[in-house]
Amino acid sequence: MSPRHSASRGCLASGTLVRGRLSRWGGLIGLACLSCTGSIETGGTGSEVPAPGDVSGTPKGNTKTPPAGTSAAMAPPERVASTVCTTTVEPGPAVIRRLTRLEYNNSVRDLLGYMGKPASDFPAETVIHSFDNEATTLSASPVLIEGYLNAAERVAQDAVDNRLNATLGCDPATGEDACATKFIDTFGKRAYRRPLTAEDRTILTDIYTNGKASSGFKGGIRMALTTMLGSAHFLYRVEFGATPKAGQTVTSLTPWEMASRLSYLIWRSMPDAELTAAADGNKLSTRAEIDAQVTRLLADPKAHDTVADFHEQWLSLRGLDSIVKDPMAFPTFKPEIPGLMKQETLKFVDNVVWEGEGTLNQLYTAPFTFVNTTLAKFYKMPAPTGTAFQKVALDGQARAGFLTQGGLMSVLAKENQTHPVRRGAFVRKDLLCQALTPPPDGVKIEFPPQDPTLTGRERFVQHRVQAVCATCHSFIDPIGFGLEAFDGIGMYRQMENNKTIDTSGEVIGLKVNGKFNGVTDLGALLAKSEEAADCAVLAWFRYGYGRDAAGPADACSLDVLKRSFASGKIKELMMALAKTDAFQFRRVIPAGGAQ
Amino acid sequence: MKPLHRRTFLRGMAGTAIALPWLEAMGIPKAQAAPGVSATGFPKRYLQWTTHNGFHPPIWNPSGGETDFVMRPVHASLEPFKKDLVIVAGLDNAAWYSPAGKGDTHSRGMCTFLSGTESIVDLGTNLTNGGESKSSGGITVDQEIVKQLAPKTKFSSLEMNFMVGGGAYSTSSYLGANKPLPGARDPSVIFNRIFAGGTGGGATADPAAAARIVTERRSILDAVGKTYQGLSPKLGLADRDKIDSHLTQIRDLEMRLQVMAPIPGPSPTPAAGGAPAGSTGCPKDVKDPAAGTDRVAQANALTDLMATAIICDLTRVGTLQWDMTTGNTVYSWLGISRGHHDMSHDGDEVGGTVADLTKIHTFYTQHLAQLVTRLKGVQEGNGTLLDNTLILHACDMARGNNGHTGRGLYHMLLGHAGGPLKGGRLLRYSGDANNKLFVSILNMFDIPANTFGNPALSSGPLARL
Repeated sequence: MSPRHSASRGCLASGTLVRGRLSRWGGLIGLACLSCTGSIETGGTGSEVPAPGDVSGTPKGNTKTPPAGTSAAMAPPERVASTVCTTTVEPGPAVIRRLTRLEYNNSVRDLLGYMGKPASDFPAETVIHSFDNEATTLSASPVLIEGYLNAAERVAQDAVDNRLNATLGCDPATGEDACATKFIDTFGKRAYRRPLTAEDRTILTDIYTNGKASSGFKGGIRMALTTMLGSAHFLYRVEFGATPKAGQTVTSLTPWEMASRLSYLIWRSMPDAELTAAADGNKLSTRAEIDAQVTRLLADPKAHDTVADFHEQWLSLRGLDSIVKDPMAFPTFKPEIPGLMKQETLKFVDNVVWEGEGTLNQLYTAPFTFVNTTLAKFYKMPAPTGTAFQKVALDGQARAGFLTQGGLMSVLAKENQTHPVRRGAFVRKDLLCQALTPPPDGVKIEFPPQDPTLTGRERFVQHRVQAVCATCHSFIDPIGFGLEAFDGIGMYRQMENNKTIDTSGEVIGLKVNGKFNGVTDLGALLAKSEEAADCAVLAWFRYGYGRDAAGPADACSLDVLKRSFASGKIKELMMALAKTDAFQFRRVIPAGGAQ
Repeated sequence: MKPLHRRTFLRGMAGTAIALPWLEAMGIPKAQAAPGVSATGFPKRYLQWTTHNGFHPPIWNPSGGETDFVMRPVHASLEPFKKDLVIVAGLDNAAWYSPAGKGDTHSRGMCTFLSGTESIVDLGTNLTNGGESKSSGGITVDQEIVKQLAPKTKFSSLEMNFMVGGGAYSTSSYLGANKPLPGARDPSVIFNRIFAGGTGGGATADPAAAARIVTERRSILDAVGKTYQGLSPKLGLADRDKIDSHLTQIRDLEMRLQVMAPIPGPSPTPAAGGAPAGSTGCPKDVKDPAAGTDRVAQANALTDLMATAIICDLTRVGTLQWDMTTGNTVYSWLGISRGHHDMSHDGDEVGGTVADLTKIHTFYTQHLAQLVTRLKGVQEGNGTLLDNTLILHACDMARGNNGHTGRGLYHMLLGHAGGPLKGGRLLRYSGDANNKLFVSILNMFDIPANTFGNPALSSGPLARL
């Protein structure tokens, strides 16, 4: 969520109601504040997904009527056992996905060795639920269409100028047109991530012929390549699924569609030669074959980039790219600091996921971090030797885990002070996946002014004494007050305005509520909550599949993921993403397109 | 007479001459030659000037009557143009308050204030009911004008943003539900796009080479388009809509390349691009503004680029968006240390806030005056380009402070829309839907609509306008 957005949470010091709408929400106190994918029932909008931890063994298939896909007729891969899942395969909706800027850059890198990141000029994606790859929102605009043309021209020109022989894969001296035909077939298959159809060949051969007539052989190749890079089959992840049997509404994927799903899941890029060869040999249809490929993809450095990208987005670290702090309030927050803070968290995450326990719990609680000399000096920590980032031990009292790192704490703060509501709301919404009900219309909302005699907790007293505020803020504020141990730029502190900061409190609204004393205690409490684990699962679902979980249709897939995440290991969760109905199957596109 | 459906009307317009009485039946004056053309034969232009986080009525609200109104100091720089502007005070954003709308006050304002259609929640999921709704539910009025008039200019519309782009509900202009048109921020990028080398990469001093590039690009776009055309019918409806929209925009670019070759660089002469005959003022030489990180230079450059693009007839529709709802820009160059959105949650009594909001709105208004000055400086026939332009100055919410609200909006209309709009007026309303204003605007552009946005919210134009 946008940190800016939650800036609005708060209640006026005097709690005045404006515009006379009291009657509209007079019964507010009776409402719950959270509507959630978690455990708080609000009666209306939440809880379409089974409540977290609801893996008690009760089959749920009889409570809903999913589309009539029939697993009996379904091709392999075999499904993972889950008591939430019924015999009916239900993959949920499959929305056509346009490549994001990251995926575009990665794809032209892996397709052509082009390192220029041409998509960086494209308009930014819309961010939904923290992530930029929500398929529904990836629409086209004139600026984007022009960007595609410019980027395709640039990339194709570069390939023809600098890498023509490698790109062609044949020697035009032995016959230009024959070489072009071979190029279209072999390179086109890589660009489109599947064997070409006769229709594809006609379009590409025609544009090659056209280009050759006006600009010679190289011109023809360049124009064919430009066309491929602008085509729907490169820019979109197009899927039809394997040809279904009569009456089936769900089908498995073609091997090449499965190869693309795997590579974009783990690498955010196109399949490599080995994955494509596996698709060619129809070796992506059994559980074992898919597992082997996922294991291989995870061992590649490109998987590290994906883990970094996920956490950069999930943990609001992109906010550091444009962060502004008031230099009067925070003179040490020099321009280089935010970039270093981002590196700190990303290096920490990388270390935990790939070299440490690899668990969500460790992300929340690990008593170490990564700093270089400049950042250590900023934090007033003992500086490591050398200029590079190094792993340093923490005492585990003041700081431990990502919640206590400077980047997140700076993003979740105001320009000149902390913002306990924003921090608490981030934890509820992004880390526990509990959606917050917006403040009712007509309530006057403002941030309490700074006061040199009060702590943050004291300034927000109205959130506790006004019932209308307390309804929600009793969920949000105690977490934010726990994080008051960090000022607006993430510096650890025990005192504010000569008063000791009270960082104790209770987290309510969880299956198992708990009291905490101090920020590392808070991190540990959150880490062991079912809600945090289930939320990490939902976040990876959204990021991995480029869409939100769709209620009952995805209940089985979510359950498979939750069970696989019982270990808390991020890598196992990533592997499990390739094992769900949502990943292994898709709905059949109805004849005539009705949907 | 029963209003004709506008599609019926335009289908008729496309091919054949239509007898005048029929035009009159549509409510279009006799003198008018074609939709979107002024009585004096010049193209009509439409611009949106959007500011965010609410107006602040105590510093904004003019006093006085319809023609003897007195503008506040925040509008001092617009005083010379008083005869060219109409203040429309007191409309309500009906879509904001529609029970069908989604999201909190921020998204309800931002996603509806130019579309008159309720905001929608992503993917139709009910998992969240908080602030994640992010799209208008339908097309905005600027794009409706583009759609209906299909101007044959190099750009069908231009969108520029002073502050942001990309986040949820960050866009003023929409092609339709889930189809935002994010604006560009960097004046150099915009300059390169609209003045240097056509759609980029094609800047060349050699006209023959330029023509060859255009021919080649059209061939490529034609081939690219076929891949979308072939795919579309094989898809489900939602995916097909997405691919069809992409295809439409490829065809649009193809058409625009045909309309106008890349302008030869390195010192482009946009006049060659086709400012209308009889119009003056298109500069002979437009330079890269190279604003860098200087925010005042950026604001000036965006304003000038938009003015130049209009004056040189590179586009007839544009949006200059100054921020977004929840945008927390710190206007430090105005001596302000707090974020705009944070301040918009203050009560009126919070020390310094009103003074700071005054500075921010004055900053916007000065740039609006800068734009208007440029347009009014261009002669068209016996009048000026401003006469043939309509600028809608709108905000995503009415009052920011003391509770965000979509009731009691302030709109300012500048220019005369090619004739129909009489300036020098303050019009007060009590709660009419802003959809009516949009209907009036469409009518001013000769689009015979009777509703805009969700037709259930209101119908008909705005009285007295």
